[in-house]
Amino acid sequence: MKSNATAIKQDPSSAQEHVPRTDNIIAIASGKGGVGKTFLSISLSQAFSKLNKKTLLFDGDLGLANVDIQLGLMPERDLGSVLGGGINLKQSIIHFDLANFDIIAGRSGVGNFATLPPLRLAQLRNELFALGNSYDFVLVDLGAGVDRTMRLLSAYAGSYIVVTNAEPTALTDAYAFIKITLYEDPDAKIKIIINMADSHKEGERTFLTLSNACREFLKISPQLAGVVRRDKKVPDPIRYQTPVLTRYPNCHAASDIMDIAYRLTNMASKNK
Amino acid sequence: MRFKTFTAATIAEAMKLVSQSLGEEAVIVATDKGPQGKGVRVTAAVENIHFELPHIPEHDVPSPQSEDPYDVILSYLERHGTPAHLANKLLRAATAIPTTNPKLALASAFDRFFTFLNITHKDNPKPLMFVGPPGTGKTIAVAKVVARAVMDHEPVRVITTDNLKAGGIEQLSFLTSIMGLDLSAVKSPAGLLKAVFDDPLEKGLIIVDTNAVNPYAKDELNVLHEYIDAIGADPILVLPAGGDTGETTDIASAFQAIGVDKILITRVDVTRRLGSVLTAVEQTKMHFTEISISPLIALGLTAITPVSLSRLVLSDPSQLINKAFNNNTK
Ligand SMILES: Nc1ncnc2c1ncn2[C@@H]1O[C@H](COP(=O)(O)OP(=O)(O)O)[C@@H](O)[C@H]1O
Ligand SMILES: [Mg+2]
Repeated sequence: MKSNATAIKQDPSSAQEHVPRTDNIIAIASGKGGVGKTFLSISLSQAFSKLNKKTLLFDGDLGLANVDIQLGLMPERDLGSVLGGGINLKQSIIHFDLANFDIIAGRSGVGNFATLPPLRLAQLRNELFALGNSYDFVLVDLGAGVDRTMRLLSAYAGSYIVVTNAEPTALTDAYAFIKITLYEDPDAKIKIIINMADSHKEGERTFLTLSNACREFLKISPQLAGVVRRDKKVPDPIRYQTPVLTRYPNCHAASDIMDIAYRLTNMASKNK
Repeated sequence: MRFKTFTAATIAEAMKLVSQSLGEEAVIVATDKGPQGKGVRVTAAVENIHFELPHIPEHDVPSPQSEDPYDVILSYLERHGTPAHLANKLLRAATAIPTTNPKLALASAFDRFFTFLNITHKDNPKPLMFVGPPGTGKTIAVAKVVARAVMDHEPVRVITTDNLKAGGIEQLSFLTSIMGLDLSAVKSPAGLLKAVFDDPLEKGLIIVDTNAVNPYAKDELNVLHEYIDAIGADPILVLPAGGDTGETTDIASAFQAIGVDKILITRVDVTRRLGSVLTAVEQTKMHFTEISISPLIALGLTAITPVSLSRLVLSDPSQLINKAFNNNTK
């Protein structure tokens, strides 16, 4: 040790080498619930699939899984079967024929995985990220809030898409998520989707409010992944249980989501 | 400690890359499949330490889930009084390398967010100046650095600006005289400059002990700043472990504001809580340097590394010192 004349910590490029960051993993997060994470996760997965990108949607809302409910699925296999032993994560994948993407369902209503021990969470994440090798994109629909479970599950995702609407509480919660994520992982890539906007203009204004706060207090400028308009065509998911891009492929919300998918594939696709 | 990942078609090729890049001492931490399932990926680390798991005594295991290495890390960090936000940040980084050995995982987290520097090395021509609030162990740290230089047959000069504290000079001059060295006492930044340049050393160390500074007194900090600038010194904050987290952080920040970017931790033998030091260093982004384990000069200082810090944090307190450092003490 004695002759170690320079900092033992290496230059930033090699410091990152032991972080298993995987570009094609996108975590969909928000501070507040009900802002449209699950809706956007499902719709973006379908949009990617329409662009011929092989996509896996992982229901990472361990407390309140509901991808399957919004899609009207009754999956035989889900995360519960994985965590209970018996099958591995890969075996829990189901194919959603209607929209042509793969899903790992959470277990809605039954049990609560939010208290998984950290090792199990990290293993789950690592297994999921490894599965990502056979996909163009893996979307992780995260639970609301900023608890440790959720942060470990999504740690070192290639990027985080933080979803918010214009409500002040949604914005402050989104800010809190961004702040804590960057504190724990200063290299995290953060993008924003403004959902339920009255117009693109209004959505962009909302984005500015959030990005100004980030610039001023966190010294970062998050990217706008896109604005999704509030759309009456977005069906009450529990009632219809059919994805919007299937029912109303040309509605406002659907076209906004397709735009976002185009943009994200150019920015984040694995260029296979 | 350095971690590096190598990808190659076969294990043998990867191992060759490891030893070419990191030398024969590299330890393989993990092997797994390469990207897209092709080839192999080998993660290696170099450090002159062993990676064996420590014996964690029964009463120290805080939770029934302690086989979970991340739970172990969290409970130890908590016991050290580490604030939750910092503990979670370290935990997140600990899960980022392919090992479930808690010591190694935590070491890699420390490696990611902290920097570790040696203060005395041949390429650092700057005088070392030990600074800090009253009673943190500056003079003893000075004596230890000086003793180390003397034992290594390195030329060394000792200067003190400590003219306030009764007995301050006497204590140090007694220590230096045992080692057969002179002690110059100076009363002003100009005096310090003169002392350094009147009798320049070809090589070797110039060590400056300073009088204690109240971190909340601007004028005292300003004077210290002048001393530092007068000779372009490399200032090292001497701070004890075990203090209040907020207070320790405030003190470190006050010294950081006048350009102090290195920290030497003292009183590690009489404290059981490292959370305050971890917090202060994380907040100020200062560099860890060495720790002073005991007030005995003969026991010297020990360079701190990600692995030794991790051992220190994850050890049974009663055996903490020996186990953390038995591979590092000279
Ligand atoms: N752009 C939109 N226009 C109209 N309704 C929307 C829009 N986005 C989401 N919703 C509706 O808002 C509700 C909450 O969405 P959901 O995705 O479940 O939120 P989260 O997963 O963030 O808790 C759902 O009923 C969903 O259909
Ligand atoms: Mg949801």
